[in-house]
Amino acid sequence: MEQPENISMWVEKYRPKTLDEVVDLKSVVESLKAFLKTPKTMPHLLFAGMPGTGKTTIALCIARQLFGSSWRTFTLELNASDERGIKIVRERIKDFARYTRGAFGNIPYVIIILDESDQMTRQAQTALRRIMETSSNTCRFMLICNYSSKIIEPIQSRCAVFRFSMLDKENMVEHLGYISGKENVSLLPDAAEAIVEYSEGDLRRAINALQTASAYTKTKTVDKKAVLRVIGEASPKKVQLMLNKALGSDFVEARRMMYELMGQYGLSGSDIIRQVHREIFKVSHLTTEEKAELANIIGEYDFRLVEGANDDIQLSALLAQFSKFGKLREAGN
Amino acid sequence: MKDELMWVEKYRPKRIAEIVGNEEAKVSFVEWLRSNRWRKKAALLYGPPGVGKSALVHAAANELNFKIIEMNASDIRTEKAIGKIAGPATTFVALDKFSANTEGSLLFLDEVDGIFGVQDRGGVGAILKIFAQKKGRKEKKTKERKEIQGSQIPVVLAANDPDLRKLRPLRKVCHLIRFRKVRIPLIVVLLQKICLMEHVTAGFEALEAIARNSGGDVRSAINDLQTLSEGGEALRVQDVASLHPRNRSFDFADTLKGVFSAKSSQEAMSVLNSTTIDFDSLVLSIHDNLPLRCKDPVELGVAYDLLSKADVFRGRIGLENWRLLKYFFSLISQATTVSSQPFQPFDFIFPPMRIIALFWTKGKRVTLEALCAKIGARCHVSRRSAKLDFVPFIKAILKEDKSAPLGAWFQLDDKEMGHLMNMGRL
Amino acid sequence: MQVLNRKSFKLPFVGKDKFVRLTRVGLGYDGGSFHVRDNNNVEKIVDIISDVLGEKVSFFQTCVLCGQDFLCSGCRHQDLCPTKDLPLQCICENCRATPKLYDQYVKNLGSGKLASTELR
Repeated sequence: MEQPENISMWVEKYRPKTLDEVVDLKSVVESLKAFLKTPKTMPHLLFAGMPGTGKTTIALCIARQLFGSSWRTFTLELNASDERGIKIVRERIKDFARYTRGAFGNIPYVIIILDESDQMTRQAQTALRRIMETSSNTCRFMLICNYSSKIIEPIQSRCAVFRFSMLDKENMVEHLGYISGKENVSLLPDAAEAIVEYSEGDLRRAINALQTASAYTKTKTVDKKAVLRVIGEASPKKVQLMLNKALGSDFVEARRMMYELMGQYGLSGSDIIRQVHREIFKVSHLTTEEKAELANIIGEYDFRLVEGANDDIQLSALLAQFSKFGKLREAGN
Repeated sequence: MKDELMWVEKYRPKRIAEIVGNEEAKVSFVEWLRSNRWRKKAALLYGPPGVGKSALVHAAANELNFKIIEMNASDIRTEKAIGKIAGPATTFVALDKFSANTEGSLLFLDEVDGIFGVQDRGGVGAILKIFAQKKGRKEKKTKERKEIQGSQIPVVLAANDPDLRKLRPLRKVCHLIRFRKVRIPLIVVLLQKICLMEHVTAGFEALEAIARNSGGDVRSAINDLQTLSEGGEALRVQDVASLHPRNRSFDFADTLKGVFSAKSSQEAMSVLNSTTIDFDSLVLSIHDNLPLRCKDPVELGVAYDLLSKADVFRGRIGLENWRLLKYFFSLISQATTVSSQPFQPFDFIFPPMRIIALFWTKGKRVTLEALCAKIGARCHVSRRSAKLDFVPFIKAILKEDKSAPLGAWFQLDDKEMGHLMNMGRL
Repeated sequence: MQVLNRKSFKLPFVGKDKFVRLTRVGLGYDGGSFHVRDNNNVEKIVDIISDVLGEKVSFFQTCVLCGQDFLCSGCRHQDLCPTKDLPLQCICENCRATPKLYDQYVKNLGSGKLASTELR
């Protein structure tokens, strides 16, 4: 087991180890604690919520509290977006269940944490449902997703569903304050404010930003300047550039950059679209209405991306819509 | 579109006799399949597209009770892949003989021209190897050799290349069956039948004009007939004038030029009907070249929207819903004819940008994925999330504080560290 | 112009070399007359025979519907026909006007009439 001081990423170092350490999410924690008292009664769990709201943390806490120090042996962490197809998921679950069978006795079941499960297609989810059924004697699933609506009904009805709401400002500042205190760094209020605003309710992002900002200061004081530097450094510059080219009606250049993002960084169509969606709201020369209109277009193409055969065509089509928008806007002015 | 199905699908021949033209080839093929000659040689059906090569294989298999194991040679290009499927099939499918309703299986490799490119020499070897036992028998007369001589199931190859030069290595191990363009009166006969079935009123001369225009390609003639009768009105000779004349063969440049220079979407559709290029390459090529045809961003936006919808249909077609193909074609032909500007010839982008973009950067991507997998494992996130939410921060910290023990904690090797520090920003 | 019947025709003495070439490209010989055995390379057969005879050679066409032999010279599609004058199946001018041609065509082929006896 790694000692806390050896952990270099703060997100891991300060990840709560037990449910008691989880300060927010009171209602979720209380019901889960009840399950832990009589582990046999715990159903499959479905955690839904935006990134960085504590879903994985809670899942890991449960595993730790069920299995103690040997929790890693009895927990299989899978990530739907990393696995190639449901067949491989099925194989890994089967192997895992077989491998741990010998160790049963004082353990009621093993735990399978399936992260980003809403990334799975409907067919894959149907197959997953079957896996959940056939292995329900030996396994408990903890499914983690952003949107529970993207999980098929039969799976939802087999799970206790917990919704994780976004952390509010005060909680976020409190967390950041706690961590900087432990790290002997003083976090100035306006710096904390800037991190909170940047992280959009994602605590993981916020902590990563805090750690990076503190690496930037020699004086152990994180000020707003350091935070802004982090934001500048970590912002997806290529995506912004691509967006600006498209809005400036230079489609060919924008598409070239899109291929660069896909080629060099291996970003998928939905990765890029998500980034584009985030960045569109930061484009300074657009009005709120215009941003809303573009966000609508993004939504349409995000939908087609799921249905279509070709990421590059859908993304290029989106960039072409931006070029068209830019051109019409220019003509209107 | 008034019909659910493409007529070429709807009227796909079920029996050998339903295929028009190429009588001699049909006889030759059936003889080969019924005798035991298929043990010693594969059949190679060669000839121009759309004249019934694969229709014959399917109809014959249907009538003579063969189960077809079909491989599209353009999907599986390497020797290994062919060997994996074709090799075992010829040696193990003997088991099938015990099943009651089928005489056995038949291995069908369509479009073998695709595997004879310079980079794919291995593909020839794979097909040759299936029949290599014959040679082996002469060289070594060992018992095992004798037992496996010849193929256990018929192997049929089909090639679009009308001349055999490219396929030379195969000639020795194949029974050659040549297909020719179908004669005009025979095409007319089939078109008449379809008109009757579809309740299309068409003048004899109009049908003759379609058949003449088809250049002996039955498939494209049927497609043209369907395109022209979409309007629901009686078909006259002058309607046929809007068709794009069929060239001998439509390669990439011909097809792209055809669809981009078409003056109406119907004309573009008729080009699409006659192309032999597979849809996925076609749609990617149109995507690559569309901005060169539509220079105006507003027109380009409209055209790309149509192309995007076409791609959605492509997604729905998947591997089986071929009845949606016509919507796919229709949307593409609309997309390529959006521009109001007259067509100016330009140099087509080829090969696809996607392939170039992904080819040159493969090494970088592999390293990045490996590095993200390590971060993901440590921080309980997916590789994708590691890439987007962790890599930028980790890089920034390491840039500022080289002594930070992050690399060691994530167990990154030197190559991964180097890549992380030198990679450009997202 | 000499017109030949694909099932049987006679040729003057062709010499050993040409005879070997002809049989190799698909001509059959039964001791007295020649016939087209393999259609794959009929263009070459025509070339060689034309060379032997010193004049252009064409073959009779066989109508898939009525079985009559006829010539391409009367056909209005010969301008576009890539297999003009080759010994292949077609439909004669008279039969082209017949209603329900296709059904008849399928029936003829299916029942093994004409050249496709081997089919059934």
